[in-house]
Amino acid sequence: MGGDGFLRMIRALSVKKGVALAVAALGFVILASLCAPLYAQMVGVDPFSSNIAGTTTRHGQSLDLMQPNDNPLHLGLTPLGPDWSPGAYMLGSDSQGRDVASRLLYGGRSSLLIAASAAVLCLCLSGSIGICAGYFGGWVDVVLSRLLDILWAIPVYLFAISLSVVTVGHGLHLGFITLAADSFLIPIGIIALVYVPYAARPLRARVLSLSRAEFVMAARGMGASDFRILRREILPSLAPSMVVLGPLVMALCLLAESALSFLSLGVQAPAASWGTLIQDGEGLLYTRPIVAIAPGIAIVVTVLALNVLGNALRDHLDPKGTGR
Amino acid sequence: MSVLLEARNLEKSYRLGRGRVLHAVSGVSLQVRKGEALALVGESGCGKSTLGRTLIGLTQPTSGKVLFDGQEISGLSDRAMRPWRARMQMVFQDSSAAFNPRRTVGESLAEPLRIHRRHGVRERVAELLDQVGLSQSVAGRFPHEFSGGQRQRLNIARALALGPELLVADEPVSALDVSVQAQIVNLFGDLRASLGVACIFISHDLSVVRQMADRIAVMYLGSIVEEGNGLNVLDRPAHPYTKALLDAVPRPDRALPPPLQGDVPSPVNPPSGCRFHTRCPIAQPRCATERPVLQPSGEGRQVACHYPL
Repeated sequence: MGGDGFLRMIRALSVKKGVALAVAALGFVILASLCAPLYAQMVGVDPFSSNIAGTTTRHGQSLDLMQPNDNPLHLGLTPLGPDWSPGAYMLGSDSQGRDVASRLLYGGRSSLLIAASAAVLCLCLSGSIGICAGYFGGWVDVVLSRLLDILWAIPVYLFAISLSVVTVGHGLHLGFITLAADSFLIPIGIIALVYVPYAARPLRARVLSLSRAEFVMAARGMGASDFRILRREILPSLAPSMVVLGPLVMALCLLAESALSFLSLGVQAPAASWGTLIQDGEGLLYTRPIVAIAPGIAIVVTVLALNVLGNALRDHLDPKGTGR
Repeated sequence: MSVLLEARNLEKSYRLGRGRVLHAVSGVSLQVRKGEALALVGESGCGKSTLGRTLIGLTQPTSGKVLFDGQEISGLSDRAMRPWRARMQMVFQDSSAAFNPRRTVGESLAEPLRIHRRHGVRERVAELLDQVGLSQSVAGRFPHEFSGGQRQRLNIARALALGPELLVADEPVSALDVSVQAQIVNLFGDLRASLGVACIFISHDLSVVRQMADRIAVMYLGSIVEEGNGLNVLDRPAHPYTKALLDAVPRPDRALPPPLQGDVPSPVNPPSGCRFHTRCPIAQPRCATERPVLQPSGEGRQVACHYPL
């Protein structure tokens, strides 16, 4: 597809209101997350260190970040609530006295980075598997397809949790590859792996039907090598299917990342992601629900936008559906 | 004239699992001489397309040999096959599926030339378009912008790109309107006259075959039942199956004779003896037990029948 076709696609897609809204929401989420350090610096907060004894200034008056509890006995402390006005602690503080708004933005950086990288990695793996299985067929296809079936038979989250439990404590040591326990590459790899069957099976089906197309047979009849056929005939026709799968897989990856992080099996402290933020807010659900709800809303909006975008792309690029 | 392509006792079968085997082509031997046009005729599913693909090495035969210009080409690896590919090309049946939809037809026509590292690609593409009666300005368009007849011309142009000595055309006109069919039939005639290229036409349409072919081979259930000079076969069929095929063509001067009874038997489980005996109007007990082989029956014709007409 040339630049002209791309522009035409954008124009066709933006005609639908929902799609324009989804793209706008995604753009906002991504831009806001990118601006996380800028925001933290501007309002002067440190989102990663505990600040229980700290204070902040609102309307010219200094407030403790940890307020006395308003239950009858005044036992314990409750974090400062939100005041919704731009500035430090606009969404209040969490139980460690950290600024919720800036942590939400930093969390978005981790969540989006992990989800996007996992989606790309997953599509690369699935594409390679789909091409090998669909194009070469025979025993290659049998082995790969059975392997995918086995992976698919294990519930996705159970599989991801099991893999994370193994790696979360002491990182990953595979031959010369060593990953620290808090490396983002571990959740990226795990999430990409568990969704490989989801993406690989429709891609394999697409490659299978493409390899039997007459234009592929024609290329073979002209004496084109397998590599040339894959590069010149199969890949250009497979690309739209992969583009369509991209946002859908990324939405799944984002949910998986949040779930793992919520269980302390994904992003490790002091780094934050939307999943760890929800976990932070879990204990404050009755007194300061915003701490858990804010990242929850961020996840819902992003996943929804990705799905709307993915479906619109499918309608446009792949109206017949890709083997599903 | 010398033999260009020869098939010796060609078999192609597919394993279907659970021990079942589909015999798509069984025991076919044939010859195509340089510049000659042979038509493979038969009902759909009789193995004529598989035979065509096996002859030019798109699929490997299960057993038997294919010889091109006296050298065996069956069983060659893709790499060893490459120089031979330039000398024989296929014209595919469905011209709408035969071109990569994401590439301009100019690029598609240039592809065989690039694969074989030929020089002067641009000039050759222009020449090819000219040969099949299309304007050079169409090279920048995409396949879906053409009519079926134009696409079939492009299909032929691509097959001619490398200057082949043999074309295998799988139902080259069956997807076209009758008026367009005539144009394509004429185009093949012109190209054969000007380029001297040998052709194998795979078709189920006897009226098209009559105009296009020097010789005709009639296939039934994977085997050739009758083979010979085109007009001889069509005007005086010797095999009851050929006669049945000809009788099934509607003509204004007569009512249709009663059609053949029953369906084509499954190639997974072909009948014993003569494969046609289950539907043959003149079958004798011997036909169910003893398989007839192709035997010369005069006029350069061969028939596989115990009781030729």
